[in-house]
Amino acid sequence: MISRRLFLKTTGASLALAGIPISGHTRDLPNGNIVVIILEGGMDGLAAVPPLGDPDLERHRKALMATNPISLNPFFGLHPALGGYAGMLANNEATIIHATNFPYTRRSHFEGQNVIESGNLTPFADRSGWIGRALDLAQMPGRALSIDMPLIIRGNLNNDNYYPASLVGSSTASPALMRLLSRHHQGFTATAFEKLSEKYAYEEKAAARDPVSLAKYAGRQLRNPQGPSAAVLRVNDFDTHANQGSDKGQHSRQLSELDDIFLGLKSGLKDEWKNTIILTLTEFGRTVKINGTVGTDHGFASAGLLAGGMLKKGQILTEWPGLANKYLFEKRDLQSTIDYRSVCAAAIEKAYGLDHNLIADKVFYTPALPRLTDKLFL
Amino acid sequence: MFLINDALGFSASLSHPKSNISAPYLMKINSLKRSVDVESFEITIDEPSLKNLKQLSNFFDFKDVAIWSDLPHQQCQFNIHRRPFHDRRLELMAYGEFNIREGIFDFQSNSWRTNGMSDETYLKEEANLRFTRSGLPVGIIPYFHLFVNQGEVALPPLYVELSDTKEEGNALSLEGSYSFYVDEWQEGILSISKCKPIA
Repeated sequence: MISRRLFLKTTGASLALAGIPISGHTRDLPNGNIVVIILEGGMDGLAAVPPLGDPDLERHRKALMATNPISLNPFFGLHPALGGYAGMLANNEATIIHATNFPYTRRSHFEGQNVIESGNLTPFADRSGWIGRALDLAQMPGRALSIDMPLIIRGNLNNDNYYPASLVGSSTASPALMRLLSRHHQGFTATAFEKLSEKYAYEEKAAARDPVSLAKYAGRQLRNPQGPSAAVLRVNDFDTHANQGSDKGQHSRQLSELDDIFLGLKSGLKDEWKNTIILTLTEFGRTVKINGTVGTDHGFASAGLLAGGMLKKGQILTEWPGLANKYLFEKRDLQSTIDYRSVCAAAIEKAYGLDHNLIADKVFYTPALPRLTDKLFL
Repeated sequence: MFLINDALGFSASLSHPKSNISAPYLMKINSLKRSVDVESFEITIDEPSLKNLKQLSNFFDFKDVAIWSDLPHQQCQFNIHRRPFHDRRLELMAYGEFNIREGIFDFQSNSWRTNGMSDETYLKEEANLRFTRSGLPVGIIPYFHLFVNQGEVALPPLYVELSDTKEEGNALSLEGSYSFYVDEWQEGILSISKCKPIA
C-alpha cells in the first residue's frame, strides 16, 4: 500500500510538452528543442551559485552558505546538491547566467510567474506565453501534453492539451471511433471529435510524476521526430522564507531535485541532447541578507542554469554587480545586470532558427532587446 | 509620454497595444543598471571534485573491468525473478531477449509483469551491462521490484548493480543464473538461456 505522503511526493512536479505536429500538418521540423524548468517560489541564485570571491557574501549570509561548495573558479562556486550539473559544466554542456532575471521588480509570486511565462512585462496582460508565440512564429502549431495548459506554451488556437493519467487502469478511446463520430457530426461537435481522435492516435504511456521520471519521459518524447519541440517542467517549493538551510534543508532538497531533472533529461534525450537547450526560469531571486527566521525573502536577480549540447562551453556569464550595500537593488536584493529575456530569445533563435529582431519584437515586445546568442551557443 | 532609452538594456515597449504599465514602474525598470560587456568566467573544476560528482542513475565505471569484448555475438533469452530472503520463492518479474556484441548487452523486446510504469523501454534504454572475462555480467539495470495493482500509484524502478555472483551454469558461459542484491528483504535473479550466434 502506498502511503499518502509518498503519493503526494510523486505529484510535486508537472510536465507540459508542446509543438507536437498535428497529423496531416506539414511543416519543416525545427533544428532544436527547448526545455524550460520553472522553479516556482523564487530560486536563491546566491545559494545555488555562491560568489565565493565576493567579500560581502559571508558578511551578509554566512548561515546560508554551503560549507563544501563545488569550486567552479576562483570567484564562483556551486551548491553541492548540483553535482550532476557540475559535471555538465565540466563537459562544456552547461552555462550559468548570474545576476539576471526578467525586469520585474514587484516581488509578487503571482505577477512574477505570469511575467516569466507570458514574456510580457505587464502581468496578466497577455493570454499567450513566450514559447507559444515562438512556436507560432516558427509555424509549429501543435499539442501540449499536460494536465493544464501552462501559460508559457499557450499560442494559437491549434494548441490543445492532453494529460496521460498516471494511475493504472485508465482506458483510452479508439481513434477510429472518434473519427467516425466526427464524420457523423457537424460544426463544433465534429471538430471536437476530430481533436479527440488526434489525441488518442498519439499513443501515450502513463508517466510517473516524480520529477526524474517526468524528465526522462520528456526527453524520450523530444527524441521522437514526430514529437514535441518544447517541454516545460515545473518544480515547486523554492519560496524559502524560513529555515532555508545551507548544505541541507529545503533549498538544498529542491536544488537536488533540479539536479536530478537535468540528469533525467540527459538520460531521456540521449543523442537528441545535442539539439536541445534547457533553461531554468524563476520569478525572482531572494534577498541577499538573512531574515529573522533563517531564511530569505523575495528579491530581484537570481541565476539562470542552462544545459544541453548546443551551448558554446561551460562558463558563467555575468556582469557581477557586487554585494556591498551600495550595489544592492533597493538596498536589499542582488542587482540584475542581464535581462534574462535575452537568454530566452537566444534559445528560441538557436533552437527554432528565428531571427533575433523578430523574436524581440513579436515574442517579447521589446525591439531593443540585447542579443546574447553568440556568447551562449555554438 | 515616455521615451524608450535605447542605451539601456532594459527597455519596455510602449507600442504594444496591451501595455498598461504604470509610469512610475516603467521609469524604475528603465533606470535599472544594464550590462554592456558581459564577462565570461571559465569553469575549472579540479580532478578530485570531478570524481565525486553525481552521475546518471545507470552510471557504472567500467574502467577497471575486463570486458569480454571478443565474446562471439549472440542473442539470448532472459528471465528476471524476485526471490525474498525469508522463503526463497521465485516470482517472475520480467522476460525477454537481448543481443550481446563486444561484451555489451543490448536489450531487445522484453516485458515486465509488474504493471505500473514498467515497460520495455527501461531495459532497452537504461540497462548498462557488460559481460566480463571472468564470466559475469557487471553493471546497472533498472529493476521494478514491486507488483502494482490497479489504482495504486506506480513508482519508478530501482537501479540495481550486478556484480559477482553466479548461482548456476558453467563458468565462462553466458548462460546461467546470476543473483543480485535489491534490498533488505529480496534479491533478484537474472537467468540467461538459449543463446545463439548472430551476425
